[in-house]
Amino acid sequence: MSDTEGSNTGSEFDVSDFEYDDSDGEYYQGDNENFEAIQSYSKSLKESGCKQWRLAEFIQENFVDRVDKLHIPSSKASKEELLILLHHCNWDEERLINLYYDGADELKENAGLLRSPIPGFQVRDDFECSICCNLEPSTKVFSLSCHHEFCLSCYYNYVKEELPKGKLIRCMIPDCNLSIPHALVHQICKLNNNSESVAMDNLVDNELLYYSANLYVIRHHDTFRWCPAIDCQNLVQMDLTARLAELDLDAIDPFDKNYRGSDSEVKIVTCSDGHEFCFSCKFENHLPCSCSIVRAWDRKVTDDSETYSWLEVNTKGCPECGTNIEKNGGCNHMKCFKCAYEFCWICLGTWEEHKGFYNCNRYVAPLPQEEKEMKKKRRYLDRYMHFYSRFMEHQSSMAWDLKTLKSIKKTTEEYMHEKATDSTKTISYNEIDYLQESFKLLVRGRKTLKWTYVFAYYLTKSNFRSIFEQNQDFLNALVEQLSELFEKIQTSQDNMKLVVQLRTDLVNVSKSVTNRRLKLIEAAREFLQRGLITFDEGF
Amino acid sequence: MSLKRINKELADLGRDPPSSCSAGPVGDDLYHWQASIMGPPDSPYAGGVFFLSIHFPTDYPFKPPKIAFTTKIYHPNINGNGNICLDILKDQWSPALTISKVLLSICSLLTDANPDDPLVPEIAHIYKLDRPKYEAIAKEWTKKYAV
Repeated sequence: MSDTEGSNTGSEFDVSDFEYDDSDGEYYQGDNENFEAIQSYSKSLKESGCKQWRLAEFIQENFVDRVDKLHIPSSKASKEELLILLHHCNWDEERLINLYYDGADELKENAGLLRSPIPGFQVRDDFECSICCNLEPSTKVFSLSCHHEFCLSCYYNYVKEELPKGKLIRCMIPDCNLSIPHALVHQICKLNNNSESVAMDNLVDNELLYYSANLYVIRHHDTFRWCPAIDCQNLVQMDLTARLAELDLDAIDPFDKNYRGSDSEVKIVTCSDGHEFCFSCKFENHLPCSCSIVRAWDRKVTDDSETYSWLEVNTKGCPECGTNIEKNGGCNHMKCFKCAYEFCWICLGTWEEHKGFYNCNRYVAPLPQEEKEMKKKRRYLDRYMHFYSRFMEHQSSMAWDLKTLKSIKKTTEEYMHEKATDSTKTISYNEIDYLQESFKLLVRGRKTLKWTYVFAYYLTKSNFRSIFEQNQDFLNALVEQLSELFEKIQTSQDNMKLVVQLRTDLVNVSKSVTNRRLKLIEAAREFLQRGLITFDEGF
Repeated sequence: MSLKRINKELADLGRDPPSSCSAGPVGDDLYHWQASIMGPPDSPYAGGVFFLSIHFPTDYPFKPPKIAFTTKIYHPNINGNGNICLDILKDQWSPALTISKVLLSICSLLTDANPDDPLVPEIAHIYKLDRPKYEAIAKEWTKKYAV
């Protein structure tokens, strides 16, 4: 979507992994009274002060409609020209007005509007394009009023190269400054040389305005974000009053004793398609963790430090060449597969001296310091593996959940399809429309649960950690219960009957999941803000 | 399609060569050229001949050619690897530009360096604060590497 945005792609837990998408859920329509209370609660918790934009709405309101608000008479400049002027001034109408009244001609020249931009598309006989050097009996060409004509396909290639810059596209001749109007850019992109259809009325899917929006978002990084989910083109705008201070997340040290996980750090927002993400760090909703904890975890997971710990605990280096060797069976007479050096696994002495028997059996107590060091390392590793495996487990469970839902959805769709001809099928839409909502809550619950393991990994031991772990247990139990209910529906013989039967259970459990989830997040936040818990990196 | 254009440029260079530079393919590969430019007379590079390598991308002329000096040169906008900091080789590239025009631009870069947008800040510093020293070093390098 955007090649300049610093998104978190490539990370192991990207926001869009298994992201549950609301937009294909149109099948289950109808209102869900059961969820309204929870929804409004969670909304008030996190969605204050932000505005959701779909890309088309954004372009219409921020770019196209602004033209009408300019008080420049249409006799002085056409709508098309005003759009170019606005684009030139980075959509800042105040700046445009100032520049315009300082010197309209100079502004127009800089924006590439010295002459009106026609003629447009033509067909020429025996035309040799000076860009591609092709000579054809009949060629579609394009030019502006400067009459610098080049063939349409060269203009197409040129425009494709220029578009991602998000700026006005000029005539190809370097000294000729004329700008190509937005509607014509669109036509060149479509390789459409029908001159009549140049219109201002359909600009929301204009390629140049799209890339300009991209540039706009980068320039207004303090208030705008693209939704980081794959193929999602929605925007979220932070209210100016609720705006975040630009955080240097690298500078925040969550392992500082005075760290209070400041509130400005995590701001979870939702795009128009229901993708939740953190406004500050563009990860998925990672509550209860703060952004700095997430970054510490990300670094840990991505770098190989734990691989080295594993090697240290589970392998020994060959005394001759240093290659790491893992002993996975057999006797203690080792032969290095690399340098063929033979040695004893127990004492690491050369095998020659053993002469067929183990004379390293006599006990020599290891230096206490060494042994302690080794044990400590093993404990750290075990601890990390404990949390990491649970974190990943929930990540993959989300994918399984999604599969289950898809299969249930297929069945219900088939059922509704057959219902038209089969009078024995009497279940109505109203009775199954809760599924989608329940499922959304399951995914949210699991996501929060997943991040609790990261939170717990860094948490130092205290009574409050025990409380947190208890909250975690409750949430875990409910999430699994809900997941099981879904699976029950999927695996049963008559799943439609179960969909109706389990309705109350599913609605109730998913409600409890959400309650638990919000309680857990609230508690974690409170502990942190009151300084009751601290984090430690050194485990 | 880029081959046709490259061939055309080669033919044009043969028909109407610029006075201070030359360019042509290294071997059979039309996408790899070598060029030479003479140090402009009103610059400390006068008397030197500087060689450059030119690599055409397959989507030339919609992407700029990659041009670098192979002769060592002391200049604020050209670094030790011969890379050139010139706007028309980056974001100001236009498909209507040609190798011949680009080489002429490089010539004028040799006459008028752009110390405010330097590739080698140390040289730019000397260029701005102690012009005679810069000229002396540039002359010395020209004598050493380009004659």
